[in-house]
Amino acid sequence: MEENKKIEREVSRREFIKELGYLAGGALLLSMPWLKSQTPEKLSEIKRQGTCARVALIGCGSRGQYHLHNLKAIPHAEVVALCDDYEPNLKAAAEIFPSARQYSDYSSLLEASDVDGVIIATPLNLHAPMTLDALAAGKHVFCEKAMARTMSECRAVYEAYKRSDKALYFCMQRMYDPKYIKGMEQVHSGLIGEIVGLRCHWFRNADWRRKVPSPELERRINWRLYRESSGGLMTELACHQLEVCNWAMGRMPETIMGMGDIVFWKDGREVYDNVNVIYRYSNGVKINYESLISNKYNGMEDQILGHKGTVDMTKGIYYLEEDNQLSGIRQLLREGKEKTLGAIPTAGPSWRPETRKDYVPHTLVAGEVSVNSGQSTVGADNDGSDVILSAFCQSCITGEKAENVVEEAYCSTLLCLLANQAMDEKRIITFPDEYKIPYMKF
Amino acid sequence: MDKNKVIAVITLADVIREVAVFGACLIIAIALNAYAIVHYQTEWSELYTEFGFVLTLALILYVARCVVKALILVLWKCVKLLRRKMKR
Ligand SMILES: NC(=O)c1ccc[n+]([C@@H]2O[C@H](COP(=O)([O-])OP(=O)(O)OC[C@H]3O[C@@H](n4cnc5c(N)ncnc54)[C@H](O)[C@@H]3O)[C@@H](O)[C@H]2O)c1
Repeated sequence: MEENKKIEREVSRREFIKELGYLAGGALLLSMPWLKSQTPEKLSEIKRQGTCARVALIGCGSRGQYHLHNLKAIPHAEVVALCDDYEPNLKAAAEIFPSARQYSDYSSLLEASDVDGVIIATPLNLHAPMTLDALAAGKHVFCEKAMARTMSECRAVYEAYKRSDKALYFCMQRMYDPKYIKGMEQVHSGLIGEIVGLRCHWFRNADWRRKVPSPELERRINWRLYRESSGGLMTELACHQLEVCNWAMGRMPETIMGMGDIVFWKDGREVYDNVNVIYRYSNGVKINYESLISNKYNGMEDQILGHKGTVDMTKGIYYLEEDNQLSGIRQLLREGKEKTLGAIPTAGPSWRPETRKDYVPHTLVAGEVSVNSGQSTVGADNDGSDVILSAFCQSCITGEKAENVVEEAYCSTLLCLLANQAMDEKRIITFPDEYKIPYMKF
Repeated sequence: MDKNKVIAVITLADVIREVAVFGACLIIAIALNAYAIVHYQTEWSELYTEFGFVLTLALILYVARCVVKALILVLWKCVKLLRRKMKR
């Protein structure tokens, strides 16, 4: 049964590769070079050699266990060790991989010579210290997003990565999601014309709180709610979406402004439960970012707006302006009718309220598209998380780094942290020079 | 034969005239379509993709012209009737 599932998942991964048509040297690989480290040719070579990546998980909470389930379906991965300093979570993970060694201290795990790579799924404030220690110990690293809790930590991780010969991944799964890859290909080929705006939002109606067995564990278990360990909605949710915006624009925003408040969940938390942020690119295009967790009507959407159409990446759908444009003769008659019968004949068409019309949806990817409603705090199925994890396991074997993944994570994490700063200080922030890296274009 | 009964005879000339009038309506509608394409900078393919709409428009123009013509006729008949009564 398990074996069948493994084969099924492996087939769907191959389908993903086939669907995208990214064969070695293809145009897709030039524009999305991070996919180069996991081409089908490289994967079959690994299979032929029969080698396996020996990986360990640090942080066996909800996301860690989600990764363990995905690892079960990756044939070139072997989970050799698990680490968590919270006994119940370590036990739960051990039930998924009973043969893996168990650690409560990650430093001892890093000393193990039979571990090629580590997967870090701990609270945000531990990402940087653990990643730095793991790279220093000579391990390949796959760390959860966001990159780090502070900008200086981000810089330290980026520098360490540049010095290291080890592979480093941050779980920016949209970079490996077929809908986003296809969508971005279409956006860059001019399908929706010139990008004129970006609209992203993430709405939930849930407090983020977890049950705590005893009060002294509150800050450990509910780490997302406290500033020492969390950047709130920005690092937890916006991080992925800002990466998509930069990917579409091929550059970084210059200025950031926003407002954040605790509007509804006044339960002692320190992070905002309601944020509105605007990022401005040098050409005037803006990202309008909005997130709140006390109303889920609008769900999660990553929209790229062009002068000829709109791509909704989250649904793998695009809409063309022309689909909703009336023919000349119909416009003429409508205008004539409005001029003669309209309430105020002197007002032009802009005066009347323009409510959203029903556009014709076109799909980006043929066949069934896996759509994430954005309501799960753990992760969705087939959202690219399994593919990026598989790519990491490949890198553990080949030693090949995935291009741009660290840089993209660095850029989007900095944008999250700068937005928090802008909201805290209630001012417009210009991207600081000291955090610019050669990868960034403004 | 009843003296008061009016027999309406549609002559070939009538048919030709009506066809010509409808042709004129169609030309007006096509011209409007071309003007709208230029004015709103839409596709020239609308000359045929919107032909059904244009045909309907021509029909509406034709019917409107018929209604106006009928109204004028009725009005004219009423005026004539009134004059006759006044003379008596
Ligand atoms: N990429 C995504 O879409 C996505 C989705 C969900 C969560 N995440 C990220 O995954 C990470 C974990 O989130 P989560 O929801 O699983 O949190 P969690 O609280 O459920 O799990 C964190 C685990 O880390 C363990 N831990 C804490 N300190 C440790 C230490 N010093 N040594 C070993 N283990 C330690 C905790 O005991 C806990 O089991 C976060 O960074 C989060 O942002 C990413």
